[in-house]
Amino acid sequence: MNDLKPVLTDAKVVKLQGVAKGIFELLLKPEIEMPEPQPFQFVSLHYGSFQLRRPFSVAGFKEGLLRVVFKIKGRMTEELASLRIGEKISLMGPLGSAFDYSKYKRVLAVAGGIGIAPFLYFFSKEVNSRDISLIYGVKTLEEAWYEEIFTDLKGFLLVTEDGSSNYYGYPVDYIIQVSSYFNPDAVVVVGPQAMLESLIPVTFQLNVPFFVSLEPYMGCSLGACGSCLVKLSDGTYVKACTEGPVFDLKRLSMGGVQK
Amino acid sequence: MTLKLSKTTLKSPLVLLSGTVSPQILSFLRPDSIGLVVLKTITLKPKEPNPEPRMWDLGFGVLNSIGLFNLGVDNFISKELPKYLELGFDYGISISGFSRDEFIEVARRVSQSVRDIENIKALELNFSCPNVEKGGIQFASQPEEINYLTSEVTRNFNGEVWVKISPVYDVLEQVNAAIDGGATGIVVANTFPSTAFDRSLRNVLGAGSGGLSGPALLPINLLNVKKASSIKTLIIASGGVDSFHAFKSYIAAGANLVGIGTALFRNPLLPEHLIEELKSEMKSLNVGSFSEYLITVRRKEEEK
Repeated sequence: MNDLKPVLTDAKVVKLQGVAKGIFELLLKPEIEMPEPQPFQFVSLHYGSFQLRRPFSVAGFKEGLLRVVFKIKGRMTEELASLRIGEKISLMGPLGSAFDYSKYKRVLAVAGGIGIAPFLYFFSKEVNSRDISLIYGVKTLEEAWYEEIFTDLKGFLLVTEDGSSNYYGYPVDYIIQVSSYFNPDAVVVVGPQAMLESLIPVTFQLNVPFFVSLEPYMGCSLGACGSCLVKLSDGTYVKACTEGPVFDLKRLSMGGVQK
Repeated sequence: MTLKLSKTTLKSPLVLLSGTVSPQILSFLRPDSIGLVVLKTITLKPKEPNPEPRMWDLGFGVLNSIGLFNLGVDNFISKELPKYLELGFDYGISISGFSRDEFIEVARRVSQSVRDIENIKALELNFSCPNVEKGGIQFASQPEEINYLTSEVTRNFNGEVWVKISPVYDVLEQVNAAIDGGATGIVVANTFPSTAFDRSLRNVLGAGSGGLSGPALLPINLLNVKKASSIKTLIIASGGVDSFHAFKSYIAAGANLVGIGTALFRNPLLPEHLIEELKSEMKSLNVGSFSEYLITVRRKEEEK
């Protein structure tokens, strides 16, 4: 668990813009200063007529401003996308355990869709201290967006499901190929459930640790409600919100990553 | 703001409800603001969670089907409870079982282990559990089981014994059975069994159905509190408290203590806000104690 106690505060919308099809970038200024999050930690937001908060990856944190990028998935994200500049929403964070990647010097980042969000923060913090390559997969080119920081990476591959980029298929399909010349010492994967499941055969072919960020339904993000329980390979359960969201894939039972 | 109950004293009329707390949530709160923290229900053996999804936000309420996930009574006592005790709150321990014997054994092990722990003030009996000896129907639907098990538990435990009733079955039957068995308080009431479908008409919960909590439960349990209060006993209201108005409504309906649950997920600071409002209202009404406040609020309700 994160040692820093999360803050619970109102935060003002400083910027909100569409960055790709169905994808928005939101900049928030918390009224109470938020402790600096670690890459892959998350925040929870509450807005509108909902009972529960929703978790969002930290996509950036600079000079006290929090960056969140989100995809429209349901009513909450629809309402978030219709916020106006200056409006306030409730923010809690940082949440989740920090993922200790310090010993990995060559990291292969594999992002599926909006799974790119936590990597944006990771890249901004780590691009100068370790070698990072990115395989970024989206359904179609319109859903991808390009950040300048990608040019500072050791490698960048954009994969589309409909073949609208030069690389056709799913990001997981390219892990072995990219690893043959990049030689990562760790692979970090963030994406939808189906993508994490498709990862399993690849892990048998590549002898490096695989880390995945899990996104089960999180009702409270504070370890209380039990909605995000994840089964480990020893048969016990942990809460993804407090022990995760990032796990060494070896620690998880197959049942834990399956719906 | 101390409150004297039949077997113990609480620091506040606010009760944090079973299944809605964690050390992280408690880190937002001061022990003096909370009367009792009821921990997640435990059973004899570890219980696996229900399949995902286990929770769903309906906007007007929340559905959950965690499935009584817990580590079992022994692991709870040796591993989980010590972490909570460090935090300085007063606790209630919620227990359940899938048969009479299991229920009694959990109660026995808990009673034995917590006998000398001053911060454990109550046991809560959760009867919304299937009784496998009676074809899987809930204990809550069988007043004779409520009565038998409550009397077995009260024989071995010296603190408060609260029975959490179900909002589905006859309120007075459940309350009478519990009090006759020696219960010192009634938690009114548990979540309401329900289900929902998403936009593509798939069931939103992996288990197919679950319990409804949140504001949707408030009017239902407000009436249940009113019904239960016709019997003289300590009533702990539960369901949909997310504002001072909701808190006061339950008091007006006859509750002595008020539980907070689902609303903690959105705002773990809610109990602190409620206590502040309560204190300032007591001051403006010029009442010195919470029991005096109860009388004042209820008198106002009767005058209407």
